[in-house]
Amino acid sequence: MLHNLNLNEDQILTLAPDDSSRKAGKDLANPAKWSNTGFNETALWGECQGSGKNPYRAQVDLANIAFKCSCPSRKFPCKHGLGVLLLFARQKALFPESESPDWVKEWVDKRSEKAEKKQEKESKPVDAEAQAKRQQQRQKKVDGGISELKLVLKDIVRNGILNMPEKASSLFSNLTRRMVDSQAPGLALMTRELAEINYYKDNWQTRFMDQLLRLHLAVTAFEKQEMLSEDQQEEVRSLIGFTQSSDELKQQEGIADQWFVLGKETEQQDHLTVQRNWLYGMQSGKHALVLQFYAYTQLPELNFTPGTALEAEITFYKGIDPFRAFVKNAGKTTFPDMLSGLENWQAQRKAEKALYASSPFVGKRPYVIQNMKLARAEGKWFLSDHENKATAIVCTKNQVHKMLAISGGAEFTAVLLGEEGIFRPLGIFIQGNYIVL
Amino acid sequence: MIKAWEEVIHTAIIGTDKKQVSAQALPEEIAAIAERIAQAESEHENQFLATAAVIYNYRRAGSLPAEPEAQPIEACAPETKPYASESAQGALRLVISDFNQSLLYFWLKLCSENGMLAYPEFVPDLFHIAANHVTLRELIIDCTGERGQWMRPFNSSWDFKPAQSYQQLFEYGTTQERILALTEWRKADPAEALEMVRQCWKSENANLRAEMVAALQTGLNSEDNAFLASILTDRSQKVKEAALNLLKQLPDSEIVKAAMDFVDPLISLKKSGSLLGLRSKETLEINLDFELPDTLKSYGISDLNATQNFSEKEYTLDELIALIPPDFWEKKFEMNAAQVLELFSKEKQTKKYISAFAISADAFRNAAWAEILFRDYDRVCYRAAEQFPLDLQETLMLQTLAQSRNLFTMNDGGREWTLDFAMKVLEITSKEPYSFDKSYYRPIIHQFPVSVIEKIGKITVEEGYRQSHWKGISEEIIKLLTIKNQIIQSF
Repeated sequence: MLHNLNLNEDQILTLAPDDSSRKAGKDLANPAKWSNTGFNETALWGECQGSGKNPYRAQVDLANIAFKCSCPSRKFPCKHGLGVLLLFARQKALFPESESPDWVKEWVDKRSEKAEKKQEKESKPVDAEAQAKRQQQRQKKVDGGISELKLVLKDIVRNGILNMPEKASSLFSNLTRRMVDSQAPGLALMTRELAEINYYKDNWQTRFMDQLLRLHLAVTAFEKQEMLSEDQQEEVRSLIGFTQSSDELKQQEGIADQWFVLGKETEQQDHLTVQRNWLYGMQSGKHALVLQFYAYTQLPELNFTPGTALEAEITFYKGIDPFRAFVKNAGKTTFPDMLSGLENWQAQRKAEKALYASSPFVGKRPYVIQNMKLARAEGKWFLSDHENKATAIVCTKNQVHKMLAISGGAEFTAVLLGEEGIFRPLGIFIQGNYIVL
Repeated sequence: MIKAWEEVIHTAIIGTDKKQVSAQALPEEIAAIAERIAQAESEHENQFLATAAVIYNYRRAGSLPAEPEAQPIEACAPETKPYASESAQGALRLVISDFNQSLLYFWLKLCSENGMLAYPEFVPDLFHIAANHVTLRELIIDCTGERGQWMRPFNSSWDFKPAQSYQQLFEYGTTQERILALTEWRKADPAEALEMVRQCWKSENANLRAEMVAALQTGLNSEDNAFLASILTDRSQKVKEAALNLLKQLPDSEIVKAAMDFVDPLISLKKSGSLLGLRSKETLEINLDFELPDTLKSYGISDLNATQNFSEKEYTLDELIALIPPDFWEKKFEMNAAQVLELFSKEKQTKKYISAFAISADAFRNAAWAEILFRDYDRVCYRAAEQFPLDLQETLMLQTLAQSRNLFTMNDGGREWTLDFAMKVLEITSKEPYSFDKSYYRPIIHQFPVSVIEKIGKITVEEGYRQSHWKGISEEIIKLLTIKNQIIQSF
């Protein structure tokens, strides 16, 4: 076999935009529906009869896991793309190795051309004066928004937070709208998080105060930027909503590495899909979070599949301990058969504390920890290291059962996401395979 | 540090109008910072926010969460059997993800017969299935090996017990498990199983008693007579009906004997001579001038019903004939089955009792009578038909399918059909795709041979909505049979 595409069904299904696409894709992974299938090093393809006269032509770029289909669906990937890839994973024998037909070759060649053109494209010259004026206006709006926010924060602490469960939703929804109007989207995101706290869960007061204090620190630091280092200023400005442009990021020097995709999650925010992709540099040991934002009918620029690695150069948004990242140059997808990480919980704690000591704004982070075993005590599940030091994990019954079934009680490398002793597993790496949880 | 943070929360709840952070609650170094903040900030709110922010940072950067010691769970023992091939596991994945019980059973059986195992990743899903499908449990336990055994204590709903003994399962299982155990036990040792029912009889509720009686259908024999007769006085109508239903199938039961004794003198054969003594004419004489005794009434025989075709007495006689084993008539008239039936069908007045013979042939599983009744009199005795030769069984199944849109399947252990029969079934069902939709084929797919894949495209359905619907169904059949083929090739 020329191409070592080794995606399992779970990994393929993470590419689906929603549940109905997942179901439709599975339904289409039926040999009876496909004809003229084939694959080679660069692509796989097939024709699927729809309700029309001509079958739909679906193809997958294997180097970068990208999809194209002639069907009119606006979803991406469509059910045909998912279906043909699932069928390939399940029954490779149905795909003879052959040269790409013209309609596949055309698309693959076009993609290579497009990628080259993108690199060569120069930025448009900027009207500096107009830009400066816009920035001034924006600064004024942001300052106004921050003043208003500070008054609200003071009101809250003066009167007490006892009745917050009843008030939070409308109070912070309104405040979020005000922050959006003030062109401070970062603050809008932070106030939205206050609205979304579950006020009927135990310990809501700590979650509330943590976020409130982060807001307070962000606006206070923003007002006193001159006292901060350059990195701290960048961090705070980013928190408020002054982010670096992609052009700037493209100019920065990046880190070229094999970036292992630890996990991926999507959520809907208003009319946008927000996709979080946690990456881990296999040589550099650096963690990176790549965010992708796209409308429902659009496609994300890159497809990240947990358990695979992307050869890429990544640049980081400036800040105290850069984490949010931008993919400057994406190469091919590979399938690593090992993953190294921190030795034990002590190493994890040390790494985590170092992050908190450097910035109060650090949120949940991923951690890769080797030599983990499942342990059980007081009705809870823990991950235990070589010294039998353990931390409880937050996970569903199905996730626990999956870990038990795959590990059989043996050691594995755990990929966890969390903070301050509350972690949930994204996946485990065992015997050369990454299992998404 | 925890105390300091609790002080922050406490103050936040009450509000800075009424409370400030108490320095006593703070560690020394934080108290010093709080003092400086109090001097720099005049407003209580700003003082609180600044102090709380410091405590927040100290908590995050300076304190460690509790680190309980927790012993890792003991690792699973190594497997002693090999895993099935990658291709077999792929087929299993398909069968589980779009759950199909028929194909799963097929897969598990082959896996077990070959002494192999499913991959560990399938264990949770297989156990979830086993928790809901009793009949698959044994096979699932077998095909999940040491890993399965090790995992079961981690979920209480997986703690089902394999049927180490029928008695154990009968004593400790759920209702469904107990009935299943009783049925299997009756196959192995009917007398022993009956004894268990006797022992627990008084302590069970009416519904379960009725179910247990129904389960005695398996392995029904004359030794069951005494027990069944004894429960005819049970206070539950369901129990009585279940017992009566079984007694009507036992030739030496009191009800059958009573029916035979009562009916015997009512029907007689009259031979009349013909010209020249060359040929005698045989006719039946039926005496309808009878009074139904109370014993027979007590078994539910009615003397008050009449229909368009039957007078009251005829109706009663019809019921009684249905209770009598068919071979009674062979002995009585010294004729074979075909001759008896021909005799009764000669006259209009006696032909009406042919259906009663069909009921009787079915109840007493008389295959010889059932065959004649099916071939020559268009009467179907489904239970007796299980003993038909294969070609006749298939003819019956196709006839039932065409007439009633119900594919009656023999109790044949789910054997695979011949291609010819399978195609005949599809010829019928494809014409009614809304009656025979995808859900119809899914539970019986294991009975279709994979060679149907090549032939199913030749089935034609009239244009229109039926055709498009059938297309979807045939694609589903192909998909399932492709999986079946993958399973076969993999083992």
